[in-house]
Amino acid sequence: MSRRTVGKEIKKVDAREKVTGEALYTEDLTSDFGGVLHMRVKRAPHPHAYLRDIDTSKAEEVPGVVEIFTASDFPELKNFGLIIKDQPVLVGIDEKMRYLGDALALVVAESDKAALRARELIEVEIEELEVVDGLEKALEEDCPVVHDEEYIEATHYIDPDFCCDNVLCDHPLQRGDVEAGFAEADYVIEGEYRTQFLDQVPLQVEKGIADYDRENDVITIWAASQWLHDTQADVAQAMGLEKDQIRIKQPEIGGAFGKKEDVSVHIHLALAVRELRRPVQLIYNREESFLAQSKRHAMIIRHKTGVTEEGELTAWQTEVFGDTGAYASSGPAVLQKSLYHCTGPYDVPNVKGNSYAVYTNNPYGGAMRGFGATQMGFAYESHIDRIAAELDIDPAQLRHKNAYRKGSLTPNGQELNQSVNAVETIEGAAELAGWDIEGDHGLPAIDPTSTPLEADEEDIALGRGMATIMFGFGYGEGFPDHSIAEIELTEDETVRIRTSAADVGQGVRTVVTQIVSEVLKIDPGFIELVRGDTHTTRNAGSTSATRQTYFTGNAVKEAAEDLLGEIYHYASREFGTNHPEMAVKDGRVYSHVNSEDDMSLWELNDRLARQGVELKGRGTFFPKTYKPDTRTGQAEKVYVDYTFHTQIVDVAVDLSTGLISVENVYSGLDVGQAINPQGVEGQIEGGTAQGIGMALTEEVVVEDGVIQNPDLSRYLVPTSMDCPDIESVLIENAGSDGPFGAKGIGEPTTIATAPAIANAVYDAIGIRFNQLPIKPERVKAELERQ
Amino acid sequence: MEITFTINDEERTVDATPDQRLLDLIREDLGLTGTKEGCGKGECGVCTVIMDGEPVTSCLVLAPQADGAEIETIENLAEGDDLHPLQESFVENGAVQCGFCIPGMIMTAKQLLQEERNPDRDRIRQALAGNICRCTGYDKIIDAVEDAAQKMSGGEA
Amino acid sequence: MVDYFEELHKVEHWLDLNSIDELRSISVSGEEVRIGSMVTHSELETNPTIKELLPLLSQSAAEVGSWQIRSRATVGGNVVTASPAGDTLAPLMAHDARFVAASTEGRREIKAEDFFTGPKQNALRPGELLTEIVLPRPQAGKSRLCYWEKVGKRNAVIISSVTIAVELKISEDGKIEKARPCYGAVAPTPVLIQSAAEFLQDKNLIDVDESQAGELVAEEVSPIDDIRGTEEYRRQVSRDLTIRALRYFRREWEGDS
Repeated sequence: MSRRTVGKEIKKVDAREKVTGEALYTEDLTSDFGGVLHMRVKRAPHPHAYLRDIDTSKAEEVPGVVEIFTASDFPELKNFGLIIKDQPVLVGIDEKMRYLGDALALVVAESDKAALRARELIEVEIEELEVVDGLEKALEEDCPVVHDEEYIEATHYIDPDFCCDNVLCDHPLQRGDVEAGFAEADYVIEGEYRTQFLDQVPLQVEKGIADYDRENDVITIWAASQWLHDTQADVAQAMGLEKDQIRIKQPEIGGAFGKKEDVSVHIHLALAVRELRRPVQLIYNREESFLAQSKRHAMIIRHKTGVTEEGELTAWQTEVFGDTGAYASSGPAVLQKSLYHCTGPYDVPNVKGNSYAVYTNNPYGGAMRGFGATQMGFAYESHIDRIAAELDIDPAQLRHKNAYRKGSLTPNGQELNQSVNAVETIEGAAELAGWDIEGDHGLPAIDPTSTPLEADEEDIALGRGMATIMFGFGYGEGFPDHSIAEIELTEDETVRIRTSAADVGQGVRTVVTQIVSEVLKIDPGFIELVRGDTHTTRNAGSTSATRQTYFTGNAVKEAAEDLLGEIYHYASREFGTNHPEMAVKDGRVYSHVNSEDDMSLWELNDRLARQGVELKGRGTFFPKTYKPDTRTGQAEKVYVDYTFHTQIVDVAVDLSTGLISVENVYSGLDVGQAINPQGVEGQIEGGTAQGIGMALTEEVVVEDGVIQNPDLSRYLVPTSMDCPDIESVLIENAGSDGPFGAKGIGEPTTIATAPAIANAVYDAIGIRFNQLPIKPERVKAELERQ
Repeated sequence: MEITFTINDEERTVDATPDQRLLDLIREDLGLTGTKEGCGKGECGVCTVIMDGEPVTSCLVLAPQADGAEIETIENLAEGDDLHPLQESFVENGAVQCGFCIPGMIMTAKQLLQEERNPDRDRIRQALAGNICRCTGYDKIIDAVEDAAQKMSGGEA
Repeated sequence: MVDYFEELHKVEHWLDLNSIDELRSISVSGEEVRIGSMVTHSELETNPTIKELLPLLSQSAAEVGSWQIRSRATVGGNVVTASPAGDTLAPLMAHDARFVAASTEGRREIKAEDFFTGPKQNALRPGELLTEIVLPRPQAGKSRLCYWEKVGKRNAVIISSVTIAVELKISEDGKIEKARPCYGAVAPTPVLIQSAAEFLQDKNLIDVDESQAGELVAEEVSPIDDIRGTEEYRRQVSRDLTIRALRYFRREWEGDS
């Protein structure tokens, strides 16, 4: 099918202003405000303590200080939170601080220097409590309780009698009879896998500017948020205001990866501007971003799998513990999604599992690319690889044999009956890599001098590993997830799209431009987008859960089709033609039959405006999913669709230093239809880099609730020297219900890399690392043992 | 103290204090907000500008140290509506996602191409190692620099 | 400046050495190479004289931080900071450097082995400024082999976990006349391992038992556990890098003859 822009290489609509430096991120807006004040936040000195006293008197005397706020200034303030409102805006006297990010006071001053000076002079008296420093401690009997008793009762989803006051919630899963399945198996293989706390490290940290409209009692905030309307609601409820009193406008966003879902600067700024009636800005530094905002949940994952001699899976049982830290954030949902991804994309007739989100005094676990499915990918793909090794079956063959096909059932009992391309991703990646699924994995010779390692032939080991993953995208689980988009013709002869969808760099703005371009058959240059604004654009849902292309893409497509319908309706009246005779192209509407019936869209728009008719379209995409049964996790459709991804990775291991170099990566990605192929590749490449970090170099090191490495010299994200070139094949068996058959790919593109690396390391040196990151000192220690 | 320097081919004299960083001088005093701050400690490369022919992290240069220096920022590359070949190449090759690393990345790349007309991929990777990108995985950034090198060495102005 | 992040306003007095030209020079005489303390790592990396005469220094300087950092960070800064993991320190020691400290009272020279007194501690007295680094110029016609390697947790912009810098002087018949095996990040200061130096002294390069040399190093280093590596790791790696260096020397030597 010949397409205009969908599936074509088209330049991203926001790239130009980013390469010139003209794109306006939050901090670039400061000069628009006269007399902006500077805020600094005083945070908890201890990760688990009661605040007994706070004395701001000395701080208030610093010249330039305007006001210092504490909880006592806002007695009506309520807690906030994405799912459960358990997080205090400001910790008050005799209240608890539960992690180092808890806010105790807000210093507002004429200059940043003054705010910094004043903050240092705030005196705080605390009563220290025992720190719940991790999962094992949190689950001990007699362990200190991070949240009060009453909280726990309100938040247990299932079993209020479940032991342990630090369990925020638990989820169960059951299909079939695992005991019968284990009995049938020739082998039962058990494994435990551990993943670490990770930080999303978007290059732009949290920043915001707010202003106050006294006349209308409206607070406007310019700050990144992955979901404008949800942040608006959270801020409003915390402050006891109406939603309309909080207006959030989207600046350019410098990356998110889940970190910009939770409230950060928003409520603090709103409080200050409403009191002071002057604009205020709050800019985090990198350390603060590490300390105060969300992390990827550290997890302990246990699998017990029954398998026959021939490699058929008979039963799979899972237990998942996630360290959700001091506050719930997305924890309940992360642990739910984790559990529902427990087996990976493999047919298993009998499944059972439980997952638990556990409170500790660590930095809180929230959303990070993959949302639990990433940690699970490492676990099940290591486990499957181990099964292959024990059965002496080629790892690709074992995966190929068991992978989902049309008619397969997910752990939730959802039958996959369209666009099931797991097998195709295995075959696609294998072909790129030269892996013969029936035989040899085809690891090519790698010249040691071409690697970044100093090893020579004597002390280098090479290996190849594979991982195949699945990702159910969208919120699913019966959540009323939807996106609304609007489209109109403007006086400036453009087509304007109105959507709140946050573009955090992943490219949703370009995708929707292409979709409109395709439907209206008009050059992308004619299309403009407004900036997201809670007050002028409708809810598009979150830029998360890999949902924007699918949800907002469909909403925009529908809006464009709605507009097209309106164009045809009114044009046919103008022309006196029948509908089938009409078409649009390049900004004109015309009749096939009579060449005189031809008008520019904007001329039509003008004519109609004079008659008091507005030419616009609206689309709402509201696909149905079902809430899983609370006891068994089963439902007809839990996620709108699943995306599959296989990666093959070649590694070189330096036996003298334990260093691992990733040499080649081959990707087979199930995309349905790549609306912007270059954009999809960009997601694969970026996702792979994050996977390399997760596998080898990244770890938020926390001791007794204190982050030991809150900076970029000790928290190591991959540099250009750590990432290889990546080869990928996009598998486009359009058949998904996404726009033009597109599937979501933002998160699936990061999940396969870490397990593929771990499996490659096993292939290279015969040692399986079940815990991430695979640090050189651990590799070396294991090699010495041999 | 008063300092004088050339920035983007223009001579400027401003008041600077030692507790001010070159990054702040550029963004606040001169209003050139194309250069960003990512970490404040020279660890991410986001704030890279060219100073006296070398890429530097402007968060680690004290404002008074710019006295007598020649400084170039991202704002200097486009000529009116015409983009610099590097900027064009970044756009065409899909090398821009969130864009926050891009001004610093382009400045380092510009200096590389000033010193070497046709660096290979390994050399480009090495030169850009001090510019962290979290979105792209670097592949398309390297494609873009290679592409720009060809444009710049192939066609004479 | 990293130490004063968000605290620049607290500094009362600043002294900028950047404008003192004498501190930026590199000069060579018959016997010595003199490097001003304000020479940047970039300059050391690219200067042809340094590359030829002091390869351990130019190679290590090339791996400090990033291009941006190398453009500004000075070798004097690296030396005076005296981090046990400072990349140019073991190389300077291996090349037998002396540091010139100047004050209003005069000048004195401090040998590299004596300069580093503890983690981030050096032998400078209050009021002293490091002005120059002086190194013996390698003699023409004399065989010398050098090996440098930096081990870090990622491939660039990384504080080292272990560094090795070895300079060997070899006689015409393949006998090791002088060995200076130096290591960084494996002790409170950069160190020259005396026992390994003595072990290698006067032995034939092609006959040397590299495992034994490695064991001597592993025994004598005194590393700690920290975020960049465990004590055990650092011992094992310094041992294995010593072996790797000797294998490399042997290959180079045999390649030449």
